[in-house]
Amino acid sequence: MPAVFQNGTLDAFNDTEGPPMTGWTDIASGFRSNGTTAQSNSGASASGLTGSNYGPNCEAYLTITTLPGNSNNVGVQARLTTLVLATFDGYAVQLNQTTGNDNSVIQRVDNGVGTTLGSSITQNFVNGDGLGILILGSQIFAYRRSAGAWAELGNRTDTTYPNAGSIGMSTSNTTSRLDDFGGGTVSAQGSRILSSLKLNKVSLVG
Amino acid sequence: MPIGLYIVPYSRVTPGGALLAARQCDIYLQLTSLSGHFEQEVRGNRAFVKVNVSAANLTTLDGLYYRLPADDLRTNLSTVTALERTRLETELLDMGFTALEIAAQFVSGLGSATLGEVVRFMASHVPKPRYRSSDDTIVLDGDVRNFSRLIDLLDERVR
Repeated sequence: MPAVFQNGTLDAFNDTEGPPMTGWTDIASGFRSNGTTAQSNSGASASGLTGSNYGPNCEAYLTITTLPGNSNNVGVQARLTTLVLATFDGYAVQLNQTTGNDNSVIQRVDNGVGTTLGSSITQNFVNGDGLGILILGSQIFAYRRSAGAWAELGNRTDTTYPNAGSIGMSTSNTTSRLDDFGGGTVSAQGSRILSSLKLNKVSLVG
Repeated sequence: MPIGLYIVPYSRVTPGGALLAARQCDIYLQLTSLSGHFEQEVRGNRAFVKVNVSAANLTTLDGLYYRLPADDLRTNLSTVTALERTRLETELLDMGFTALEIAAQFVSGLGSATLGEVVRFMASHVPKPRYRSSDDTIVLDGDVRNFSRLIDLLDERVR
């Protein structure tokens, strides 16, 4: 289990199946697994764990074995309400790979429309890095794992969707390869510890 | 560094072959050095933004967006000019409020309200967005949400 996240891997994509993969509901297009990783079956895909209801304090993470390439993205989502593209609400952390520096965004999702909260966060990713979302109360944290260590990329505050929900993943193309999707409910004790460490953090740079 | 309060539109963004139709407060697209979280959505596909930035950056922002007539939400609008109050009312109308709604909320006129009361009103009727594929547009016509409480949280966060 990663140092930051409390819950272990839920799907290592060791089967050859999909879309949909067992235990997943496809929100758009769909993922398939090839025995070691998962990839979009066609174009942009998003899927959520069927019947999962984690939280309200919750987390989701994955390993990006192969990055999506420039002008494409990979994301993780939590507190998802429905698993239908036109109606799903919740929060997302999305890595956007670009020709310059990569950036990540923390988004609120309303009816499938993403609204980036605050600024984009500049951070290059390499193959094998992890991407994670952690939600504690009204704070949404973005994490990157590099060389085995998770580090916070940034956090945002939003109270629109306070309830437990599903967790999921997305990508914009068939290039990316994703692995070891994990997540679940974060315990109250863990929440208190993390909150005490992070809630007073404010970045003001202009 | 000085404080500035602005009303800033959201812009459509397509980050990295976006799966979702997406938008971002335009201030982050224009002032790319801005790092953090300074906005709260209000009505009309706009955000209330409170920044604490250099004087040079404030000058840049002044040229791009509507700067509210005071830099403190506690300011009584009786202390700003009539022209500034009219500009504020025009912004409310542009957001989608009707003159009737504005008059009902501010019975004695904007001159009897604080700037904070007006901004909280802006955040009190925010329709939920959706994506309309027929013309590739984000439309705001869903359930109305009240974000007014979050105005004070943002105000406290940025000092």
